[in-house]
Amino acid sequence: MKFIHAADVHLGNTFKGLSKQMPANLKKLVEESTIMAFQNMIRNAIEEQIDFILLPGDFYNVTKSGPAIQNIVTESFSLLKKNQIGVFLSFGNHDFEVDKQKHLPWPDNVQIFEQNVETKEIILNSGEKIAITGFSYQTPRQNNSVIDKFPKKRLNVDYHIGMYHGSIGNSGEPYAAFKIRDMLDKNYDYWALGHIHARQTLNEVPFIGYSGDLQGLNRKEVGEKGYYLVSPDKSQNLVPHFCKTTIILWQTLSINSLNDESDITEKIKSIKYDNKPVFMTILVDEVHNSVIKERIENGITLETLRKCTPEYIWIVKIIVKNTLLLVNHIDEKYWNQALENVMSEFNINDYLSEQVPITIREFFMTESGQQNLRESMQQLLSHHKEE
Amino acid sequence: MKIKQIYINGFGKWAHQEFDFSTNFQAIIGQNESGKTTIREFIVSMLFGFPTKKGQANVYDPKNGSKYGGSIIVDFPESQVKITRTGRVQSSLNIIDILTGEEISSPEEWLNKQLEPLNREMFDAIFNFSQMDLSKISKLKVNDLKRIILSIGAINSQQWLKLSEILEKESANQYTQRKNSQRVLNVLTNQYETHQLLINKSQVDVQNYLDLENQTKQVDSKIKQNQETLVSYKQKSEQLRAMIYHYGLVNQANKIKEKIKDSIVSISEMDILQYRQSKVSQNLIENKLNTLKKGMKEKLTNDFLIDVAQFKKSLVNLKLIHNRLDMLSSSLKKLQQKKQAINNLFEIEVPQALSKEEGALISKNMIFFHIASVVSLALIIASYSIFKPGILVGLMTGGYSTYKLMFHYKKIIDIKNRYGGISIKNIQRLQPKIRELPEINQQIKQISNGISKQLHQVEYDLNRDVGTIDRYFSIKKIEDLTLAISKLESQIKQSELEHQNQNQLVVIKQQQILSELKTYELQFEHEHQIQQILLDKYHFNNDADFEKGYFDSVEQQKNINRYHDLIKQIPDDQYNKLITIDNMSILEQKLSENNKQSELIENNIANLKTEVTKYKIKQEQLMSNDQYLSQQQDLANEETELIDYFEQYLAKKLTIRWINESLSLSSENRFPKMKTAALHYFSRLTFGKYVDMHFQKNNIRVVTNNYQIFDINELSTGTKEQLFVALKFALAQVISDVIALPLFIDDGFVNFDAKRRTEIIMILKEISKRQQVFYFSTALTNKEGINVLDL
Repeated sequence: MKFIHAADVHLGNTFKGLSKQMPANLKKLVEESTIMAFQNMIRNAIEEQIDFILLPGDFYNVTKSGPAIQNIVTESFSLLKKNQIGVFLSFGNHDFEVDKQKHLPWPDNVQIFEQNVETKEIILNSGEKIAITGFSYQTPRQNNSVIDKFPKKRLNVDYHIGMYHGSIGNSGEPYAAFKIRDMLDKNYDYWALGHIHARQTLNEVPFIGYSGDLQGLNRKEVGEKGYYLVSPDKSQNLVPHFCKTTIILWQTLSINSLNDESDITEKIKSIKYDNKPVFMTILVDEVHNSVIKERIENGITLETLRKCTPEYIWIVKIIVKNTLLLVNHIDEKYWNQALENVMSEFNINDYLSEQVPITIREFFMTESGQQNLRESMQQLLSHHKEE
Repeated sequence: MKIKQIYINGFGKWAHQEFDFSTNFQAIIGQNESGKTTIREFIVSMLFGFPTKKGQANVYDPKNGSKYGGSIIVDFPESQVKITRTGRVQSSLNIIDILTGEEISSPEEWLNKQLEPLNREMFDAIFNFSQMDLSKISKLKVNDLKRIILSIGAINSQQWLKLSEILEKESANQYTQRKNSQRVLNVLTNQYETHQLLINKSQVDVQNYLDLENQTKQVDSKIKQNQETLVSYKQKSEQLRAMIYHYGLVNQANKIKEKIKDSIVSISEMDILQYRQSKVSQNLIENKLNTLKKGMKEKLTNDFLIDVAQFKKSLVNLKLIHNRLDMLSSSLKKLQQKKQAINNLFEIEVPQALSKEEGALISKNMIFFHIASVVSLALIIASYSIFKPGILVGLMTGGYSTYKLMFHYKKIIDIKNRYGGISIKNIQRLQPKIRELPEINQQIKQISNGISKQLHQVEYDLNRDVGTIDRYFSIKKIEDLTLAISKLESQIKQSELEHQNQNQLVVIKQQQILSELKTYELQFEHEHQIQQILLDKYHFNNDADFEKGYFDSVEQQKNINRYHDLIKQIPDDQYNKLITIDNMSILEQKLSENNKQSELIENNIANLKTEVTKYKIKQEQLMSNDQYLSQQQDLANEETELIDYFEQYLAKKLTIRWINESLSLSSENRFPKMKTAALHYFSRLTFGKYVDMHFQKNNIRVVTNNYQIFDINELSTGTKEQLFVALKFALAQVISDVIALPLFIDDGFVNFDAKRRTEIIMILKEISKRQQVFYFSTALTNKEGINVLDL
């Protein structure tokens, strides 16, 4: 008994926050990175001769996809079929309703979970009987507490596995909120969770956890990504082993204090090439030199650095953490309060018409979008102050 | 903070000048151009640094060439220091703690910390107060005034408001919520929208792709159907081809069948073989018989190994000669003995007979002659009994010997004569003997010659008659002759024996042949009977008939076999069908029709396959044209860019709000305190005319003592100025809880009447209790409690 738990494949993910200036070869790699990571996994699945693969949600990045990507998926699953590997697929908040969209026929080794919680059974070549319970999103939100609909462990099976796309929280929250307690109560042998992109274990035995995505999708998803290869240990507990699939490695380079641009280049040079391109975000705490500060703000530093970094490193962004500009100002507390007031009252629709794409409008309502706004606002004031 | 003393080394019109400011209210009085503002500027410069030569700003270069700068002594809450700044371009700062006398390291930092959070601008905004500010008020439009007054509670509010204005303009140029605006962000947004629509087209591609997939499936199933039909046609063709082939076989078989006739007798192989063998045997027997018959003709032979007759003749001859020679030899011996006896009579040579009387001795010669005749006679007799021609030889020999004897006799006489020299006595006594001796010698000689001659002759004759190369008779002596005789005799004997044996063998052989002949003749007859039986069996007369009959029979069998072979190749079920078909062309026509159909279907399949290929190519194209991912990434990048732009735009918009909010917050917060202080001052400055004021979001209203409420724009210029002064004093007072810097009032209140001016001084006196006040003016009437520096 051996299977793969791979949530959040996000096939065809488009990478936000990358520049148009990115070289064509990197852009291509970026575009195909989720697919390549997926194909890495398929290859490994066949090599490892696993019994089945669990894809608990966000398999596709979006509900709709092009023929090329569908073709790759169909071919990959057919390949698994040839190798007698089953596929259990449920959709998440990103790829909800994929099965209702135009899609190539799924090979018959693929079992798709419906909106309502259902349990599928599979008998392995070893004779072991496995029950898998899951559900699919049919909308981008799942406010109902789905976990309550999950049945208790079946007694006539060797293992009972739960596939669940959601996050810890209270009932009514958008992503099928659950509590660890709820899952433990079901007595399952393994909970293959999806939705959270950072690999994490919520409970050791039985395992409840997120495998994370196969490929970091933005500058915040740093480090190696991959899937879990799960097999029983001596005491028949299902134990996950992490397997890398990363195509592009996102990394953050923190620099406390920047006096000279060469501080950055030196640090970058010390990064060793691990056979995969690195997308680097540079995080600077403090910039003393006003000339450099200006160069960073104008994007000159970024351009200069991109020219002198090794080919396998692409610098995505340089972020300068602004210590609040008005520190020690007489009215500091009022300015801070005012900023909080402005941001809490902030409603994007007061500023942008509906013509502006919803994704953009939504972005500014996210935490990171608002963080960016705060930083820009502070920069504006800081400029003014210097003038 | 309190400024206790200043020393100006060189600054504007001042040089090497020291001023002490012992009290908290310091008035500096002087006419215009007396240097009041220079002192104020010197103090501010000592605290915050010298002014830079930007634009038209006055930098107060010393007029008399003194060294730029100076020092001040300041009381900070925790220390008393002397601050010295010199040099405008390369200025240096030096601070000494007066109590300890130590110089402070990093003086700039130290001083900034003491003055925190103030900078020069903020200091100006809060603690500096000039007539300029007041005169501005009278010139300002109502709304601006409102704003200024409203934001007076916030530090640096004017500057912030200016920034807010700039941002407002900038952001308005970037984007507007109107749909068809050509502003940068509107254009970019439209572009993005267009690109997004383009991407959605990719979903159409998916439909096309799926449609093609379905079409491919349909055509594939058509191909399958066609292929099945094709297979059935091909099978049919196969059957027809087989039928045509079998039909040919049937025809062939029928032709052969015609050749098969009942009349032809089948002759068994055994029989023909037996017949032929018998024939061969008979021939062999016949040959044998002939050979045997020839063998019977053979007769008794006379052949000998040698010519017996010749041998015998030679033998007789030899014997004769041998006898004769024997006799001669014995005669010779006798003569020789006689001679010897005579010789023995003499010591030396026997002398010759002296006279012819010795002829008496011839009798002795007669005896010799008789001997010779007898020998010849004996020879003749012998020849006569054995071989008649031998007589002739005997005669000849006889004659010949006689002649010889006589010749010798004569000779012996001669010899006797020759021996006549011997002594007479002896000769006489011995005369007979001596007379005998020549004759003896003669006789010996004669006999010896005769012998050798005869031997020679015999050798010659013998070898001529019976000698061969292998068998040469060498006869030199009589013994040789004896040997030759015995040889001849034995050979004759042997030859005769052999001859006899041979003849015996011939007889036996012929007897055998006779018996064999009988046997073979029986066999011959037997074979003949066998043949006859076989001929009778098949009713043939002779060999030739039988052989022809057999040939026919074999041909017949061959035809039968071929017929059966051909028929065997035709499946049973087809045979009956085939014999009903009139001719082959019917089948051939069917086949060609069937082939045509096959070809049509094959073409059809090829066309369908082309169709499938077309679909596949289209699918491939759709796949390779599938820029969905790439387009999406492009769009994402565009979005990133758009987000950056909108972020700038929003940041500006929000900053405007932030500024307003901050200003309103800070002023609002201070307003309760400020309101109290401001109301206090405003009330005093208006001598109780106004009793209350209301700070509203965008406005300030004042209330008179008879409860009339006025908007700012409803107030007179003077009252507006009084309100402004009241608010400004209130602000300095409220802020002094954070930092209490001296308040600098430069030539203010010119528009105030004397009463109000006095009141202002009173107010400033109150303020100076909390913080130092520098009052610069052209005149001061009431100097009580005020340290006045009269310039």
